[in-house]
Amino acid sequence: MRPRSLTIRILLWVVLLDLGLATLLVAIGVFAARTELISSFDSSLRQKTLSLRALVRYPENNSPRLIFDPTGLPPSADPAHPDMFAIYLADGTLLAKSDGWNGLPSGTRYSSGDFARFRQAGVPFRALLLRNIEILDREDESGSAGAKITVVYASPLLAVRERVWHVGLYLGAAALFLLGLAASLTVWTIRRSLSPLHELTNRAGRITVRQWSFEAPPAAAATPELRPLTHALETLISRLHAAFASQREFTSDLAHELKTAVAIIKSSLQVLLQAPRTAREYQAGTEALLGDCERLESLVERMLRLTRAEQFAEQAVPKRMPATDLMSTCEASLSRVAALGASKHVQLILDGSTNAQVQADPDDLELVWVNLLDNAVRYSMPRSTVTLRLQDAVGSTTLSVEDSGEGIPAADLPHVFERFRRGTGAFAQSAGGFGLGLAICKTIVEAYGGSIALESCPGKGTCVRIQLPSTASVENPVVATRSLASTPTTLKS
Amino acid sequence: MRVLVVEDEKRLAENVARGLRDGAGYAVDHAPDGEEALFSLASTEYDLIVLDLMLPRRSGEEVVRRLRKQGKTVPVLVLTARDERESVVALLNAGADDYVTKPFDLGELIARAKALIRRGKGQAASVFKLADLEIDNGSRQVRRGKRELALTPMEYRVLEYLAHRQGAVVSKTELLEHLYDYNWEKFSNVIEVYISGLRRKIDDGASERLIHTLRGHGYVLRQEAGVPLAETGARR
Repeated sequence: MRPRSLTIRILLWVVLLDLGLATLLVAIGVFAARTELISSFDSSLRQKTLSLRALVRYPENNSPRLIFDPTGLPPSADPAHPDMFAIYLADGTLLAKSDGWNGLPSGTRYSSGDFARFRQAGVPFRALLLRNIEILDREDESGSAGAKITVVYASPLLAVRERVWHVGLYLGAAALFLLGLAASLTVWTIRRSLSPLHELTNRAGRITVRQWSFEAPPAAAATPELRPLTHALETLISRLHAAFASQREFTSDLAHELKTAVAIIKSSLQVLLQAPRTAREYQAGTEALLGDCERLESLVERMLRLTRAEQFAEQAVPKRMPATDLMSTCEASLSRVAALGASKHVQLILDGSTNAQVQADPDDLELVWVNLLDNAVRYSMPRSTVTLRLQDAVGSTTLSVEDSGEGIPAADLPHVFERFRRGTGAFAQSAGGFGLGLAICKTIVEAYGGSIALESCPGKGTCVRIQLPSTASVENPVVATRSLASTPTTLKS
Repeated sequence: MRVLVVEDEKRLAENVARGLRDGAGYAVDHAPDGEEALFSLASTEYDLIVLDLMLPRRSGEEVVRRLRKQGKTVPVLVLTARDERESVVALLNAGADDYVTKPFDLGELIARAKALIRRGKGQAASVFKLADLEIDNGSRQVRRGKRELALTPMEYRVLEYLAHRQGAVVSKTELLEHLYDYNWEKFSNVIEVYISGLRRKIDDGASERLIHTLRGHGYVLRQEAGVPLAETGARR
C-alpha cells in the first residue's frame, strides 16, 4: 500500500475545500459587484436617455416639425467608444441618430425594462428604449401635453466590464492569499498537534531489551486521542515485562537444576579419579554415574515437555485438535502406571466411566494422568489404593486422582504447582523428583481451557481434581449418575 | 577434622563426603536439610561446614545467620548454583567464609576446605612447622628433620588435628569427635594405638619429644624447652 502522509492528506483536503469556498466567494462577489454596477449604469443610461428629451424641440419659426438640437448632447464617458442614440417621432419616422447607430443587430430584443444588450464592432453595448416620452418643449405655453417621441440610447459596457474584472481580480487575489495562509496554518497546526505523537514514538523507540520502562510522556497522556495507544503500549510493556521476568526466573531455576545435575556427574567422576580404584569400585562408580546421567536426561525431557506445553498454552489461536475419547486415555494411563503400582503394592482403581470427548491431544492428556497417578502411587503406603474418578457434568468432565498417602503439609500447598518446587516431606525428599510434574499438568490442563486444584490433608491423603471442558452426549448426566452408583472397576495391579 | 555436609541432593552429598574423606582424610557427616543441619550443629563440634544454598525447610543463608548468631566461629563453605554477584555478597555478609559454584571441581573444593580449616585454627600456611617437624597439609606429607615419615591415614589425621590445635591439650573425646563421623564411641580404644604409633614414628630417634601425654587430660603437640610456642612457630 502506498504510504500516505496524514499531514498531506489533511492539507489536501483543507486546500481543496478552501479553493472551492474561495471560488464561490469570488463568484458571489463578482456577481454582486456586477449587479451593483449595472444598476448604476442603468440609472445613468436612463438619465442620459431622458436628457435627450430636452434636445428635441420646435424650431424658432414656429414650424410644427420637431428638430433635434445636438448641442446639448451629454458627453460620452468613453471617447473611444461613444454613446449612440436614435430618436423617433410618434409616427415612427427617424428624427435623428448618432453616427454609429445602425439599429439593434438582428436577433437582439429589448427585454426587461426595455433594456437591450448587443455588440457592435466587438464592443458590448447596453441600450435603453423609452417609448412615447413627452418632450419638454411645448408648442404653446398653454400647458397641453407635449409631442411624444421614442428614444433609444446605448452606452458601451466596457467600463463596467473592466470594473467587474477588477473586483474579481481583487477578490481572487485575496482568496488566494487567504488560501495560502490557511494551508500554512494547517501544516503548522498539524505539526503542533502531532508533537505528542512524535514524543510518544520517541519514548516507545527507546524501549530496548535492557531498558524496559515505559512511561507515556505527559503531553501524550493528556491527549484523549492518544490515550488508547498509550494505554495499549503500557499494557503491552507490562505484560511483556511480567512474561520476561517469569522466563528469567524459570531460566535461573533451570540453570540451578542443570548445574546441580552436572555437579553430581562431575564430582562422581572426580571421586573415582581421586585414588586408584579396584575394578569393582569402578564398576559401581560407573553404574552410579549412569543413574546420574539418566536423571539428567529425564530432567531435560521434562523441561522440554513443560516448555512445549507452555508454548502451546501461549498460542492465542488453539490448534485444531481431534476429539479425544477421555475414557480411553484414562485406561491407557492406568495400564502404564500399573507396573509401578504392582511394585509398590498399591492398588489402582478406576471409578466411573464417561463417553465424553475432549478437544485435545491424547498424548497430552495421558501425560497428565500418568503424572498424577505416578505421584499418587509414589506417595502412597503399601497396600493402600489410588483412585481415578470420573464424573460428567453438562459441558465438562471432572477427573480426580485420590490417594491415601502422607499428604502435603499446609505450608507447601500454595506452592505445589510452582516449577522446581519439591515437597519437604520425607517421601518427597527420597522420591527425588524435580518438582516439574504438577507444573506440567497445570500448564497442559489450562492450555485446554480446564482447571486443576489440589486438596490435601497431612496423614490422610491427597486429591487432585481436574475439570476439562468436554462435549458429552445429551443423555450423559444420566449416565454419570448411574456410573457413580456403579461398583468401581478394579484394575489388576 | 570433622565436616558437616548440608546438601539436599543425595548423590552430590555422597560425592562431596567421599571426596573429603578420601581426599583430605576428614570425618564427614551429612544433613539433608537446614533443620537437620541446625540440629547436628547444636549437638556436635565441627571444623567445617559445607553448605548448599538452596535447601528445603531452612535456606543455607538462614543456617549461616543462625550459626553466627549463636556465636559459633566454625568456617562455612557454601555450595551455590547461583553465581550472581549480589547473592554471593549477601551470603558472605551473612557470615559465610567462602563459596564454590556448582558444578565445582572436587579438588578445588577440598583445597578450599583445607584452607578454611587451617584459617579457622589460626594457621595460614599450608606447611605446619614445629621444631624440625614439618607437616604439609596440601600433599599430606610429614617430615622430621630430613626423615620422611610414612604415616597411616588415621595417624596423619590425628597428627594434623593436634598440629592445628598446637599447644592446646586435646582430649581423647575431642579427637574422637573430630576424627570419626558416626558412632565414634566404639573407636574409643584406638586413639591410644594411633598416638603410640605416631610417637614411635615422630619422636623415636629424635633429639626432642614433641607429642606429650597429660594423664587424665589428653594429648598435646609442643616443644618442652620452656620456649614460648608462638616464637617456635615463627622461628623459621
